[in-house]
Order: sequence, then structure tokens, then C-alpha cells
Amino acid sequence: MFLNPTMLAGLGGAMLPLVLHLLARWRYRNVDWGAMMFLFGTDLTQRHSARLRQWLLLALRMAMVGLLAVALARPVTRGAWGTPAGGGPVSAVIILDRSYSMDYQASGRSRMQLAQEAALAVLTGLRPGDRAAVISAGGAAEAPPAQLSTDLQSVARQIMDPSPPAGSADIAVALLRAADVLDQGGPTGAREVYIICDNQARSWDGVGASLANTWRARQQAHEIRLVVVPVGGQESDNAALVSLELLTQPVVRDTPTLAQVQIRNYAYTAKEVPLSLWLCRDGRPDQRLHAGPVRVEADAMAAVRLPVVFSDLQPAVLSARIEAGGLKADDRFDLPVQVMERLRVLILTGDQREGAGFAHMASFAELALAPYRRRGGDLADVAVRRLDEWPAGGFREFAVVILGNVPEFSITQARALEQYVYGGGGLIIAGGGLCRVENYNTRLFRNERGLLPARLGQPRIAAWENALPIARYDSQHPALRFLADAPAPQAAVAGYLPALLRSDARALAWLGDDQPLLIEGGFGGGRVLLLTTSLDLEWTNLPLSNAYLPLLQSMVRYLGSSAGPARGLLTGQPLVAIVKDPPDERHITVRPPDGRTMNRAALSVASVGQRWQISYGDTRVPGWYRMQVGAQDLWFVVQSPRHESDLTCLSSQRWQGLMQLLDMQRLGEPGRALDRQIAAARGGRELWLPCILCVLILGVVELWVARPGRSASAN
Amino acid sequence: MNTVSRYLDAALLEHLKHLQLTACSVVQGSVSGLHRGPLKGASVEFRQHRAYAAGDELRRMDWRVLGRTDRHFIKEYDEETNLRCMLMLDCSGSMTYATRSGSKWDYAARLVAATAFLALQQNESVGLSLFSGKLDLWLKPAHGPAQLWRILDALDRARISGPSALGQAMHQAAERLDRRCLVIVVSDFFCPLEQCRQGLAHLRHDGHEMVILQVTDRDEEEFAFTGWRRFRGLEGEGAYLAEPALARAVYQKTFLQHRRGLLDCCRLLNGQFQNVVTDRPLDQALRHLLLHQSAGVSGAPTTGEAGQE
Repeated sequence: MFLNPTMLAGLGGAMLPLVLHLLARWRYRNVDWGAMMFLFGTDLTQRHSARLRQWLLLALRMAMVGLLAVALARPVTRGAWGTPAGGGPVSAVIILDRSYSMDYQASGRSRMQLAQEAALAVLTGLRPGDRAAVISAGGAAEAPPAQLSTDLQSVARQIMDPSPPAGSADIAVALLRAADVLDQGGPTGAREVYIICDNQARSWDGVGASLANTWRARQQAHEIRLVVVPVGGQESDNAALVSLELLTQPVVRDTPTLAQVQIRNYAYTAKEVPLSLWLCRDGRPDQRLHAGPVRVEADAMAAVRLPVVFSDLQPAVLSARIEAGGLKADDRFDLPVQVMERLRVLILTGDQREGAGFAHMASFAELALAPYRRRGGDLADVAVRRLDEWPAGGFREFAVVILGNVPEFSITQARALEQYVYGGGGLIIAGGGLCRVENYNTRLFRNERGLLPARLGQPRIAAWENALPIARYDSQHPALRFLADAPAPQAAVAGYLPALLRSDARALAWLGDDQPLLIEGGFGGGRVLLLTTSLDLEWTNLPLSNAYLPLLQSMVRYLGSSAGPARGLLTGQPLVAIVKDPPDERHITVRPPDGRTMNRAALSVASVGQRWQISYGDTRVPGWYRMQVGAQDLWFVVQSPRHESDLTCLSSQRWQGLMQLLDMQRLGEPGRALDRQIAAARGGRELWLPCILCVLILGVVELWVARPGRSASAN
Repeated sequence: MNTVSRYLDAALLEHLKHLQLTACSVVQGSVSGLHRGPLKGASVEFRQHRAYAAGDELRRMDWRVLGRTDRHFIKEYDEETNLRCMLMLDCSGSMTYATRSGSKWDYAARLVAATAFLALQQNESVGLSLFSGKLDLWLKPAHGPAQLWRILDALDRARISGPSALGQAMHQAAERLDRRCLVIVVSDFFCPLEQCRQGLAHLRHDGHEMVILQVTDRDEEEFAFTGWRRFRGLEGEGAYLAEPALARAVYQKTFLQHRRGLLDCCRLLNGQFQNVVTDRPLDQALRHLLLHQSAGVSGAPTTGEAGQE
């Protein structure tokens, strides 16, 4: 292939020596010569040699002119990738794996360093005028939108971004982004996408047949050459802290709570992993709560539950740490803890019966929620009121309100309840013989516009002999999680309110006839739990079972914890804080980890019911975030998803499959410079310089052949 | 221009006045002269004593020896005779090669004429043989002014063409020469070396003294042509197209080999070899020839271009 094919017309010039030769023969001069014997005297070999030399000279001269013309036509070769050299600028998109698995160290060098070197080698293979862009798969920094640039120095600076590897890599998403970048780059010469990653199989989970079809269509449309450069070895020995959670939420001061730590061993041998649990305050470890080894079987998970008691209300972070080989980033798991005073619970009962003992539901509920009678260690401060003691100022002072066996609600009461729940309050509604279903449906359900999560039917009362058992329940729900490892509650339900669920509500427990027993619904910023049976012994013997106390406490904890959004987040999830008073946005500060500056653009404030929600979205960097809203000091922990901890490498079959699926070529064999491998694969190069060199060499040969004394010396 | 001035101009004759043609070996002349002959005769050069035999002339008796020893001895003297010189001139086509300085034939003819003049002036006998493919002309050696005229006339009427048969001509000359003489062969010697060797050997075998005079042109020495040339043989060899730059080396090598062969041949046969290039003045060439010829009393061959003294 020639870049300047018009110059090939110069090939005709190669005939010039031949024409001159023929002209010279035609125009030769005759010499009448006597000493012919000395011309003929040369033997036949010599004469043939001389003639051969003449033709050789002619051929050399023709070749020189021809090669000169070819050199001027700028010949190029096509490489293995089918791209001709000099056929336009190369547009290269480098997908750089910045997930925290790239932090794996081997031989004193991290995979990230190897990947950066490989990416720079790709840049080295580019020429002035070529364009490049970098797309980070994973990574901590908020990368600007990738765009092809001829400024390879700036691309190199992006590659050498010193921020530590973080997050998880999704090659599938990055591939499509690379195709978008190349599309935006406009029509150019060769298009190349380089994936520089480790051998981790997880990164390629998203690459399946569907993605391959999409990619291949774009690849063929734009003739994109896809190259993968795996870096790092096949090491996959790693143990990771997968989770740290508090099983009992919210955390109430002086109330024992269970912290559960999960450790995953990705190695093929069992490990004895030293585990420590720390309580951190003000960003520093303050108190070691636990230390001891945990045995984790090969390729298995181990869960450890540790009782923890928080004795003050200061913001705290619970930090679990292990000391294991492999990645360092997953050897620690932090969890911010919001310690609060005992929950203030209001029990409103419609049962007007008086008397000592357990006359009605308020007695059972109060005992379940405050068994120590305010002597400390109770979950809640419980207030019991009758309907005529309806709080005139609303329920803002209470975290949870329990309505038990309330006959009916006035419009005002119903609106007060709606405002309370909409503003983030928690409400438990329990049935009973006094309940007027029509009033509930009219005032609270309001054709799915009210807070009641289900339309209620007339009570179904059966004889105790025909009481229904609790057939099934969702033990994954926080309110019923205590039942996950416990035996099923031995309780029977003789009476209940049939319920037809609102579209956005869901049942959490069912009776033997598949009627819902416990229903959850949302309303504004708050949540409502509807128990279709009673909280006393009127319709069920549940208060006498061992499940009553944990059920009620768990329901209250669940609803009470709705006062604050989660503060243990994954990278990319926004920090959200709910405050009661309208905040001044100028006085809100967020301190990201590693001394980074706050990104004001990522901060937003919105009203949610009677409260205000503050949100900060720039959380790509894992670590501790400190949000200060007025006098409030809130700690958030952002952590990378732990599936990157699985360093299991791609098998050779999977590699083969991927390369066929994506029409991908693999480079980066050890012992050979990557830029040379790329150059060899790209292959196409201009040949004008070799042509000129050949012309010079032919010129020297021509001079040597034609020099006068050559024949004598040869003979 | 008459025949004499064509071959012998006044300046050349003036230069030749002080030169003498001599033979290095014995010659057999027809009259008494300057050169030692093979026979015993009446010259003043004593050769030997011999015992008297019946029939010897008494006047040759050495009376002094008889008086002292009472024995009869006859005194013998060398015969002194004139030089018989045979000039053999090549008339083959290759001698017609001419450049700005003239043709080889002209040069050789003038050389032969001058030599003949010089020899005749010394009262030597001079003959002429013209040859190409065969002996074209044979003038047996004779002395006297008329011989010069005959020689000049023969040169004037010579037809220069055809192939050279030098060897055959020398054989024929050797057969025709009945006495020992000085044979001067003037040619370019562009013929097979073996033929030359055989011819010269024949002459030498018959006791003749030989002088080989190779006349060449500067072009033939150096082959300094440029550009493509078609070389057409002057002796009917056909044409040969060549780039001189390419053929030069081979030509020169072969040319020098041939000359070296001639020289070796002369050395072997006790002849003298002279090379004369036509761009040299004739008087210088002739003086050079005669000096080397007279100095070669020992019979050693002399080579080198005439004029390079």
C-alpha cells in the first residue's frame, strides 16, 4: 500500500537506464581496430562475465531509479491488525483497572504499578498526532469524562494518578464507555482499545453473550481492535472482612447489642485469622473491644458475633480488623454507629379497662419494651396513654407510637398520625375487638392514600381450638431477623383482621390460612407496621410466647432506627443525613478522607416532610467522611464492595472464551517489551527509509561494480 | 611529395648521419666490409695458427714460427665482410590503424626506409620483405643506391590489408635467406604468440641475428576509449561491441601478457625486442633502436619504448 501512489509514476523512470543503454548502443562509434585479438583474446568466461556485469549494472541502475520512485510513493505495510502504517492517526482508549485488587503486592511491586507501566508502554507506541484516552475501571478519584486527546503527556499524567486503587472494576461497562469515547472521537484511522487489568475473574463477570453481541456490533462497525494486557501473577490467596453489622438496631446507650463480623477466606487452605474489634472516636482507635483468632475454612465464610455495649452518645465507629495475607484494603471494615438514648415509645390504647396486672395490650407491650422498668438497660422509655389523653402537640417527641385496639380515629387524629409518620415517625397498629374497620379504612387507609398499608376486613374470630399458627415469616427483614436463628414462635391466632394489601405494602408474616399477620408500609419518611391480630391475649396467645418480647422490641428498634439513614455505605452511595431544623447550606461541611477538599457541587439539601435531608454524592473515595451540620457531628464510612476481594483468576478456558467472544487479542508476554509487542502486532510501518537505504546501497554496489580496476583485480 | 621525401625527410637524414648500424653477431656479407664474417679471410684480425697442410698458400706461412721452432704453421685471419640486413615489414590490415599521429604503417615504413638508408649508406646490403598473409614482396639484400630506390618504391606500392601471418612470413624468409644476416622484423605482432615463436626460432636456427621491432599506437597501449564502441577488425575479424571501461582491464591484461610472451621469446632466442609507439618522434625511436642494437653485442634483448632513454 502506498500513501502517495501518484509518485509511482516515477517507476517509469526505472526504464531510463535501459533507454540510455539502448541509445548508447545505437549511438556507439565505430572504431577500426587492429588489436582485436586482445578483445577476442579474453576467454569466454571473461567475456560472459563482462557481459553479465554490464547487465548487472543496468539492473542496478534501473533498480535504483525504481526504488527511489517507490520511496517517494511512501510504501507502507499492513500489520497483523490490518492497519497500515501512516494510514491516519491511531485512536487508542486505555481501560485501566483501578479496582483495589490492583493493590495486590508481589515481589515488592503492586499490580497497579505494573498496569501503569503497561499503559505508558501503550502510549510509547503512539506517534505524534495519535490520540488517546484513559478510562478507569474502578478507582477512587472522580475521573473526568474520558475524551480522546492528542496531548499524550496529559494522558500519561492521568495514568500515573497517585490515588490508591479502590472500588471494583466492571470491564463490561468500561468496554461500552470506550466504544462511546471512540464514537465521539469522530472518523479517524485505526481504533484500538487496550484493557490493562489483573487476571481477576470477577472483573469480567459482566461480560456475557449479551454484552458480547453489543460490543461486537460496535467493534465491527468501527473496526475497533481490542487488546487485553493482563498484569500481575496468578496469586489469589486472600482473606477479607466481608461485613460488619450490628444485629440490633438502633444502638441504644447501655443496651447490649450484637456485632456480627463476617470473614471470607478465598484461599484453598484453612486459615487462622487474627481478628480485633475496635471502637474508634474522632477518627482514631479508642478502645479495643475484642481480639482473638478466627478459624476460617478454605474457600468459606465465617461469622463471629460479639456483644457490644455503648456507654455514651458520642459518634463512634466500630472497626473490625484482621491480619491476613493478600490484599490490605479488605483487612478492615468500619461501621459508624449512632448511639442514641432509649427510644421514646408512646402506647395509645383504646381499651379503657382498668386494673392491675395484664388487663390489656398496654401492659404486655410496656413490659416487653421496658422489662427493667427504667432501671437501665431498657430499650425504650414507654408512655401509656388512653385515647382521651391524645397528645395535643403531636408525636414529635416519640420515636415510635403503638396504637393498640383503638376503636376509631377522628379526622384530626388521623391527620396528626399522618403528619407524624410522613415526617419520619414509626407507627405500630395492632388490631383488637374494639377496632372499627370502616373507620380505619376511611380515615387511615383512604383508598391507598393514607398511612394504613392494607384495607381491613371484618374481624375473623375463631374458637381457640381452631386458632391459626404463624405459618411463615420473612426472617431477612430487620424486624424479624431475630427469628432467623431461633425456633418458630409457638403462638396461635384465633382472631385477626383480614387485610387486602396496598400496592406498595408487603407482608412480613402470614397465618396458616395465608392471611397476612404483619404488614409493612411506608408513608412519607416514616414506616408503619400493621399487626392484624391483637397485642394482648384477646385474639392470640402471642404475648405468652417467647417471641413476643423480641418481636415487639425488634419492631420498635426497626421503626425507631428509621430516624437516621445508614451511615455505612459503599463507594458511590451518597451520604444522607436527616435533620429536624432547616440547615444553612453554607455551614455544612463534609471532610472526605485523605485530606481531600469538599466538593460543594455534590452537596444538596431538600425537605422531607417535616425534616430536612442533606445529601453528599462525591463518595468514590473509600474512607471516613465527617459531616458537620451546625453542632451535629456525623460520621460516615464509605467502603469498596467486597467482591473485589475474590482474587480468583480467570482460567485459561475462560480467557479463550473471552477472546473469542470479544474478538480480543492478548498481549503482554513476559520478557518482551509491551510497546514492541504492540508495534509488532500493529506492524504496519512506512518503508520509505529502507527504500532510500537500499538506493544508497545499490549506488555503492554500482560504483564498486563499475569501477575501472574491478575486472583486473577480479581476474 | 615524392617517394623519397615521403619516407625520408631532410631532418631525419640529418639526424641519421652520425648513426651506424652494426650487427652483434657474425654476418655473411657479399663484399668486404665493417662486420666480422664467419669465414677466415684476409683481414687484419688474427684468429689462430694452424698446422700447414699440403695445398696451403705459402704466403700465409708464419715464417717467424718456422724460424724459431722449425715447424710449419699457417696464420689464419677473420674475414671482414659487409652487413646483410633483411627488413621485414608487416603489411597486414592492423598496421593501418591510425590516429592523429599517423598510421602504424606510415610510421613503420618510415622506420624501415630510414634503416635501409642508414645501412646502404654504410655500404651494407639491405633487403626488404613485405608480408601480410604471406610474403607479398621479397627484395633480396643488395647494396648500392639503387637498392634504396627499390625499397622506397616497394614501400610506396605496398598494399596494406588482410590478415597477418607473421609466423609463416618468417618461415618463408628463413628459407630464402641463404646467408647469415641481420633480420629486422617491424610489425605490431598482433598474431598468435606461438606463430611468432616458431618463426623467430626458425630464423634463429638459421643463424640470423634478429631484432623485433613492435610498432603500436598509443590507443593500443592504453585502450583509453570512453563510451560504447564498436570495434571493427582491420584484418577481417568482425565487429565487437564493448564498453571500453569494462573491457579495458581485460584488454590491457591480455595485451601485456602478449608482450611479455614476445619478450620471453626474444630472450630465449637471443633476439632483441624493441617497442615503438607511434606518437614518439621517429628520429628518437631510430636512435634508441640503433644504440640498443649496437650495445647489444652480447646478444641480450632490449625492451622498452623507443625514445625512453
